[in-house]
Amino acid sequence: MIEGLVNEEAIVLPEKIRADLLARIEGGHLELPLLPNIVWEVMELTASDDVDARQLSELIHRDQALASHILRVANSPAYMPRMPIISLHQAVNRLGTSVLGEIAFAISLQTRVFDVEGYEHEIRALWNHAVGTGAYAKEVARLRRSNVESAFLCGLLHDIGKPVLLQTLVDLQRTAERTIEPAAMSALMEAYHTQVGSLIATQWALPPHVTESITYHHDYLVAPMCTEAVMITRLADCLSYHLAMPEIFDEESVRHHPILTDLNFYPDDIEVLFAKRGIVGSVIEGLS
Amino acid sequence: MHTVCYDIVVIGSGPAGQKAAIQGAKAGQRVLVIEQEPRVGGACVHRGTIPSKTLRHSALTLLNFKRHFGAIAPLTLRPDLELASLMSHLDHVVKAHERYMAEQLARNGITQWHGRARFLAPRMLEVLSPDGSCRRVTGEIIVIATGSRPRAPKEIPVDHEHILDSDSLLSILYLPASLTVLGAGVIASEYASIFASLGVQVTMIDRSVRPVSFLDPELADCFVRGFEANGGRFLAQQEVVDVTWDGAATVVTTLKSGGVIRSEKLLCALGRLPNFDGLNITAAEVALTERGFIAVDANCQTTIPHIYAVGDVIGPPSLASCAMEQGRRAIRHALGLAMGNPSEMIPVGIYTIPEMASVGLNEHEARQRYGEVVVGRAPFAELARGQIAGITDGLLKLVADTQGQHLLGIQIIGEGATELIHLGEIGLLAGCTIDAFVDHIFNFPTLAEAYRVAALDIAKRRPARAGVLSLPTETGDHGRHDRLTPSPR
Repeated sequence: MIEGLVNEEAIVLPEKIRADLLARIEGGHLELPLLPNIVWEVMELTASDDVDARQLSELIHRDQALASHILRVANSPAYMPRMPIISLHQAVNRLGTSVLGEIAFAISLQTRVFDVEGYEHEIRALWNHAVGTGAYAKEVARLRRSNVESAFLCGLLHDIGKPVLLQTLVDLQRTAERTIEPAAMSALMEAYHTQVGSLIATQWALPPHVTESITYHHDYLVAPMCTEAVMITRLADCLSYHLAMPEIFDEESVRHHPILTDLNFYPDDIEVLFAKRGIVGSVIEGLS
Repeated sequence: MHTVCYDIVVIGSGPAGQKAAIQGAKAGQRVLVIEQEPRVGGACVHRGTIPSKTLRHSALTLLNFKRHFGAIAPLTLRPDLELASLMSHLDHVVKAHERYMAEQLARNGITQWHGRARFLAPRMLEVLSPDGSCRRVTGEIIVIATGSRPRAPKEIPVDHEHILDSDSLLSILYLPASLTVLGAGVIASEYASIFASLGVQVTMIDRSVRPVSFLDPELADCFVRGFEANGGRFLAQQEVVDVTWDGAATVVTTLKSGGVIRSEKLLCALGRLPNFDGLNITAAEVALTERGFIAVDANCQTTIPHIYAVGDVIGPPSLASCAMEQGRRAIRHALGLAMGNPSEMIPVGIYTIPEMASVGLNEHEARQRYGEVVVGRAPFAELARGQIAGITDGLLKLVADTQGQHLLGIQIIGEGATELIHLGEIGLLAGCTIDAFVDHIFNFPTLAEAYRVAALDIAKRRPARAGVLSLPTETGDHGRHDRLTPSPR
């Protein structure tokens, strides 16, 4: 969510739910999602020097759901296959091991984390925003001559706390037999998502630039080590919101966001990024 | 819009701009420096010299450890080693350098503006800030020191992810298993040798016969031997017809000869272009060279008398040391001050592994100018310090006049070359004879002894005059030079 869109103070929350939520977060009792081992194995294999297509396709075949999702994504316009990709081996050869790793991770994230029954619309918006931020982060990093490879993961995961909080709040309202107003739910997600995201980053042992992007993207100047990666994620976050909700967060809002001057981007630099809408849109479509 | 006036306006705060500004301020002028980045220093500090030399320092330290202790403590780098971990002190180095330069500008009363400059007229500039606000300024003297950026030939699809240029190369997270380097100039050779020393399979490809073609060929050949001994490969006289990222894990480089090179990453280092995008250079009315650089005379004055251009924006040699001298020289000329040393005395330092350096004339240039010359050589393998430090792949060459009496130039390859060259530079400037290097005592053991060994080599090769072999007197160096022919100790 964009800061300022939700005023937490203006919303009356059932105090018990807020107290329960805080107790879970601060007491370490939040149920954090686990990604299947196969995802970590795929990521590890794709990062190694001597990975070959056969090994990788054999590994992904162990999870049929993941395998079929990968084939669907590999055939989407975002990856522009010259001819239909019909086997995993072919997908690895065509898309490359690192892209396959990214796709496998994104799909597992979508099926394991971005999945809250009864909130499909909200979850879809969160997912599209996450993918859009990842895709924009690569473009921002490219323009800034910063690392492009890691930018996607930083963007994809920056709001990982939100779907987890949504699931937690749904569970809490079920337990308390109370309904939380949508605005209240948004306010709580906005207020605590970086804290929860940080817990997930620790549990998943994510690399520092991803962890800091999750924890500090609203307060990038205090990021301890990876300030540039966090700033890139923050700008990508803004651009992704603009892409999804141009009527609320218009081009002028992006142009006047302080992140641009903090990144030393001049007015013509942001025009270059606005021109990447098509590329980012096709990535979102591919991973939806 | 209100227009501010300064005596001197310098566009760019890299080594050239900074020295121009300081020279102007020291001469009592009101100076403004315009820098598009939030901090001073230019590409030299943030993307070029300082970061690459920081990585080089780590690579060299690892290489030396392997040379000295590899047999008893084998050292192998993890395949997933983060590049940043090899430059862990880079932030500290950059910040210290930035702080020093900013303080120096402030101490000299130089005004700094953050923004992008654009000529409106030969004396007037508009400066755009990142927030979109504009200011105008006029300068009695204007110095263009906007540097250069990597040339990206349209047939090389640089994506800064798999196919990189020298601005994005150091952004990669992990050391690649293999790297193709297109080009064989200073930047290409430096990065190729650094990555090869870190265990990366490096293939350097160029149309030329040997790398760094403006250097003495003997040094370049010596560099290639060292590079290949470290696992690198130099493909000379090759034309690249296609570069593609195969969409999988490999960059495929196809040569006109039919050869195909596959690598994890590719560095495109095929020269640099002047950085005056957005400067509206046509409004400055200065002439450009055929290659698109700003045309200047020996004093860095452009075709518009009050506009000077210094550093990479005027083309080769594109070295920070030259750029600083150009900056200083331009302002001294503009203000009618004494000029100092001629530019040919500027030393060249190339931070390959091992380093290369040159000052004055090389053997080829000296022969062209003077006909026969006498050349003395000192292989580092013949120096005690070379053996102790494991620096046996070096060579120092002294070039002397026809009679072997007067020093014309020095070329060095070997670790420490960029420091050692200054001894020869001072010798050149002071007009030292070759005998001065024989008749004076050097510390033992040092690499500087190479000067004495090379000087003795020249003495041995001097043409005989009137039947008398012209040999200098050996002095009291405790018998360390008890011969005229250098040989392994």
